[in-house]
Amino acid sequence: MSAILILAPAIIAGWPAITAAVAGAAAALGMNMAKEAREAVKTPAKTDKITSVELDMAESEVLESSLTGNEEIVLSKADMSVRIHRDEYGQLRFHVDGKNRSKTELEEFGRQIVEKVTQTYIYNRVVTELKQRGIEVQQEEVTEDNTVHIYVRNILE
Amino acid sequence: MEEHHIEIEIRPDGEVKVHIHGAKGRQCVKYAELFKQIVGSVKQQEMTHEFYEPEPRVALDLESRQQVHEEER
Repeated sequence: MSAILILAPAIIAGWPAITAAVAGAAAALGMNMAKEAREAVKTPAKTDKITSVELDMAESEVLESSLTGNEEIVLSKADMSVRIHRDEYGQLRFHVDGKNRSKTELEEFGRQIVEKVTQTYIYNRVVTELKQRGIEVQQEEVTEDNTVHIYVRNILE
Repeated sequence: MEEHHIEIEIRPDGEVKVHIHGAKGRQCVKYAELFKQIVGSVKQQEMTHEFYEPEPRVALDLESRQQVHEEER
């Protein structure tokens, strides 16, 4: 072993790459990706109480050149929905709505999605960049703690 | 021909740990730069003894320089 690095992730990408990461995260978390989800939460019964929280992704930047004016993704699961969009500062923002849920529950749910989107984005980027450089991925595995392990080999001639 | 092995861990929160095996000196620095470019900023970096071992080419360069100096004397 000659070096060990610990790196903090940053998402600096165009909207298509972010959409791909969100789609992957949604599939992994068993969430639906549809606009109807937002509608479902926005038309509650009179007895329902809708609670909302906002989460941002500090180390993120959605590249302006990739925007077409319709950058919003809505995910849903049971009685909760998450709207993911680019805020006025160019960062990714997660707006979480839930029926009869506490703010703590929604924050926890939102944080889980933020983390999964980050992990999926980084995975996609690592694999794509290594492939582009001709570095061979030998093996991949996901351990019980949901850490993704990628083993690669680089041969220099 | 040289072979380097790299183990990449992507943790559930997106933090990444990279173990670089077999690369020395500048080669190792090149990998560090590559992963910074792909992932983000370095939080922690640890170079083990292998990093400080001379690369084969550097060793040859030093030997040939030594020979030149000896010939000049």
